[in-house]
Amino acid sequence: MSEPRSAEAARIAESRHDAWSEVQRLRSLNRDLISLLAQPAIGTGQTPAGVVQTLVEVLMSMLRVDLAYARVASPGEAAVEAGCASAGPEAAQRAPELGVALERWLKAETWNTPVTIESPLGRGEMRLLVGRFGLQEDSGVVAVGSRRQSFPTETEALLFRVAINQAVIGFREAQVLQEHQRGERLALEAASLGTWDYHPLTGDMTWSDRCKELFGLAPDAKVDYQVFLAGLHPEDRERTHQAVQRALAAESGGRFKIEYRTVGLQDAIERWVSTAGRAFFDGSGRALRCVGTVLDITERKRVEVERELLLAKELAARAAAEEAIHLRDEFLSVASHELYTPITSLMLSVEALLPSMRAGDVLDPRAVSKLLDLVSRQGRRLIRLIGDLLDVSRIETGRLQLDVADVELGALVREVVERLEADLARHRCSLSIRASGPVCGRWDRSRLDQVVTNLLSNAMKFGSGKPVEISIGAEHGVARLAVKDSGIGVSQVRQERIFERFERAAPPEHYGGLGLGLYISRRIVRAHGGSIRVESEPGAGSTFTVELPCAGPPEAAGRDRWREG
Amino acid sequence: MSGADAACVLVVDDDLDICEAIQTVLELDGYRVVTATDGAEALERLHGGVRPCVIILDLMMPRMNGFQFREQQLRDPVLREIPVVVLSGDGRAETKARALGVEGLRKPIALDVLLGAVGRSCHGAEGAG
Repeated sequence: MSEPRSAEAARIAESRHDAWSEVQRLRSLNRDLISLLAQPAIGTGQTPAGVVQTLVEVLMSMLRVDLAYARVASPGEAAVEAGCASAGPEAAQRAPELGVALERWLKAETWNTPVTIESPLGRGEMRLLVGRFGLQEDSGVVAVGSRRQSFPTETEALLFRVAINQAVIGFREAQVLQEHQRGERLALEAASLGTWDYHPLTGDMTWSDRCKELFGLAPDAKVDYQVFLAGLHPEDRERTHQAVQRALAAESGGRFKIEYRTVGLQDAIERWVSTAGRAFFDGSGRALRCVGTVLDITERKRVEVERELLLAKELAARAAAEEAIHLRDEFLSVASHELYTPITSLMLSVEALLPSMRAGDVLDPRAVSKLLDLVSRQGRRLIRLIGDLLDVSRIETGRLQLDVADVELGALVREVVERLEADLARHRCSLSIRASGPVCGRWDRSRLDQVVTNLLSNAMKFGSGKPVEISIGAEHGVARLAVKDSGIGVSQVRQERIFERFERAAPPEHYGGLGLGLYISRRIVRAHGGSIRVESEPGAGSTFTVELPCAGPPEAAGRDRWREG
Repeated sequence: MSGADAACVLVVDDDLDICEAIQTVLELDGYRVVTATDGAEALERLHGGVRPCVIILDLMMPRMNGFQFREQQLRDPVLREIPVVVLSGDGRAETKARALGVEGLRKPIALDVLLGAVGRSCHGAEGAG
């Protein structure tokens, strides 16, 4: 009896043991179930793929199964799958094989029944639990397989479903998070924002691809603070470095924003970049980390520069217009003065003559002659003034033409001097002419006469009554006429401007004159292909030198030459 | 006005034709005329003993203009009493003359206006003595 008793006892003991283990296992399952239900989700904070992987691991450990497999497909995304096998990681890596096997299980519709399958664990009989992942049809499948006869119990089946539900929640969370992150990344990309991360203590730097791009670097380029400095425009380097160093000091508060140019380290393209960053400090005020964004503002800067240029141009144009108006007003004032002066003499003379003539009085013939001389001279002055004004108008509109003929410069100068003899005498101005010999050329006689008259009139007017020297010569086919006075001279600043329209060598308060003589003279000389220049020292006098090609004006001497500035 | 020559007029103008025209018409009216082409020459004449009953003064002149001349004239206790008539082609001749505290006339000037101004200064009435 002892044998059967003992066998019976053993059987009972064993069954008791089995029952106890079963209880223990059920308790454990209950605990797992409760802890699973207590969790908000499986795989919180992970990527979708991470959630699926975690689910497989949870199923393996809680259900103590031999195989676990999950595959989830979301619309528009690559399917995510994970597998696990009790035989170890090698078998787990053969998850796709599990997937193939699973397809057969599903087709066989053999859920919760033992089936014989090819699995990474080898061929053998298995009991399966298969469930859908998610609410939508075919969105995913989860399966576990166990060689245990009792698999699956109701608790195990419940735990299986709860785990899947929790994982679905985790998976949806992960998808939302991923969408959000993708949206953020898209937003950063849309704004052309790059990011960087700098650890001042180690000197480590991490730049996003976009950040590297803004420094003209390839995505695989190595970066550190020295690369950053090297990538800055030399003119912006020091102030940018200073701004970063200031931000790394705790008292600055750590926030900074700065705009600088980058040189394009690999592509040599200059870009304008705006950086905003923030530094984080430890308890002792050391900067541990500095992070921030970079934004390409090249276009904005270009627009700004363009706007500034436009503004500057507009201001310059306005200033030029105001200057032109000022010049015109001044010219009108001077012109009226110049025209009124001969008219004053003319009217006084005529008014002095008329009453006595009408009354039949006999006037002193010398006085009559003097007054008539004056009248005639004023007439000539007015003709010359009006001629000057017309010349300017002709020059401005390009209507002044040269009538070229053979001219001997010396003879022409002597002719002008003779005509001006009376004026020279009245200005008590002595004049000498030095000529090396006849100087012949193809020029417009009357226009050249005008130039010589202008130069001599100026020498007379500004020569302070001191001797005026004229020299005439020719060299290498170029005729040269120099008129030298020892008068008030022209300052360096005014020398540049006296050939401009309405400019005078002296302020109008001191000297009259339309300020057109030299302007007209230069146009005439230039039209002949020649040049006119002045050398002068204030108080010591001036020398005006005219150079003319003897061959006459160049072929192209036409209307344009008169118009050039 | 002690020492002033009631028949003498000093004409200061850098335009020789103006000087000549004024000189001729004033001489026909019985005045004696001394001319100067700028303020400096006018001062020379005055320092040389010329004592006109009036100075006809242009404003725009080389070396020493009308303003500078007037400044110098007022510094001299003898010369400061000589009346001045500004004769200028400047559109603001009257205003500028007023700034100098003198009578201002504008070019071109009518003969009777010129003779009237000179007469008032030299005789307190028109016409030469």
